[in-house]
Amino acid sequence: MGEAAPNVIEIDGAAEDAALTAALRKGARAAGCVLIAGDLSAGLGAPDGWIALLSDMSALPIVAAAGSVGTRGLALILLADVAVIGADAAWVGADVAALAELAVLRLGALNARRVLLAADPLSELCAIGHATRADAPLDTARSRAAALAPTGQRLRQGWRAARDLPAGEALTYAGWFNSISTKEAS
Amino acid sequence: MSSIHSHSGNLVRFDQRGAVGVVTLCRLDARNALSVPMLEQLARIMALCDAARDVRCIVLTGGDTVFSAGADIDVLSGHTAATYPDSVNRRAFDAIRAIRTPVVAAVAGYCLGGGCEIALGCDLIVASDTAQFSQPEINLGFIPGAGGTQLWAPRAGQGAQARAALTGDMLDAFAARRAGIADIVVPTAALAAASLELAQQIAAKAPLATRAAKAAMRAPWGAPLNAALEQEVALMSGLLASADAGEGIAAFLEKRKPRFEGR
Repeated sequence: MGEAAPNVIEIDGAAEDAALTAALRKGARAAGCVLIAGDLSAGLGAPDGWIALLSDMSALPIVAAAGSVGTRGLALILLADVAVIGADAAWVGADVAALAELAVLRLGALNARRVLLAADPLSELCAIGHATRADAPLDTARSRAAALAPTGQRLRQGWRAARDLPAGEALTYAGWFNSISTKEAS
Repeated sequence: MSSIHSHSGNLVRFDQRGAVGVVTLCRLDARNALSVPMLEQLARIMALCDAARDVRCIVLTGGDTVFSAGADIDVLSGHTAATYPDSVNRRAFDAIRAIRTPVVAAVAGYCLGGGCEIALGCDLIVASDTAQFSQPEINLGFIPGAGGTQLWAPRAGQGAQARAALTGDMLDAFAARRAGIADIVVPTAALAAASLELAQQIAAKAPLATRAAKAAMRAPWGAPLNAALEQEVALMSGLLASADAGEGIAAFLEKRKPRFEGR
């Protein structure tokens, strides 16, 4: 099976949060996966719009991080379901406290402490398994995006259901999905 | 088989599935925006369902892409304080809300404005994971005029009611479920089956009892809610004639930000 080209959002390091939100909103309409790359060195700014968008969108976000990574980049990596960090990636951020809530929501309390209290959060993200290292992070991320494209949206919907619905209702939601898949297969 | 089929129009379709009547809004090219003819057809078919002995529960849906993007803008523009309270659309909303048969709303995609008010007037809301609920009227310089300032509160509380009416913020399906606006969230492809299953479960109960249960549950909607709804209509009617409402509608049609001046 041929690999589908993922929808790539190239981040401009100088982009304001509103512009970043608009770019991500456009990319988020894609089914499957959204690959986020580019200049991740900026600080956090006022990210309410794009953090909520990435947190809830139905496409599966994949981040390829290379070069300098600031607090905005770390937030994007935390929000990613697949994060690939280049061998040359270097943490240049400050004010990790601004990511306290997001880190707990995405990593759990213990791992959030490990990452945010580390001198090098990027290495710690790899150590706990949230991210992986690669010499060519964009190529690796593209490959993962192509592989995950057929199931990315279904995974995201399931994770959203598990996060936001009462447990029994989340399992019923999954049951409906399975019932649809079974009917489609027969 | 029910004779209601013969009343199906080009804007609202009726299908019968056993003891369940499935009423479908069919104006997808306009995102099921509620025009006057559509509201009239909907009110007529819902009333026929209500009168039919073989329809024991109703599923009201817009299909699996959009429930309704709200009232057609030309339904709202041009009204005065004198004309709106007796308008066809206002009476249609009242008639739909007054149905005694249990109604399950099956909601996918946009469920905005008047569409949201219709869904909230139903007894249960099954939402697909694409559903989006909002009362955006405040952005046009007026207020919801068919229950949107009243019907969120019993389900979600006064805070959610105030936020909906004063900000027009959108709630997606999962947020709506957490707030209590939606009762069940299902994958989009399962919306029809899940809502039909729920309606069939209700339709299998004693029909006099389900209607009595609905009447009892609606009792608090009686005098206080009816008075509040009358007040809402009176306020909405005045606002529709305001310069700000004209500006809000014009800005919406011209795709620009409105300039409200409080007159």
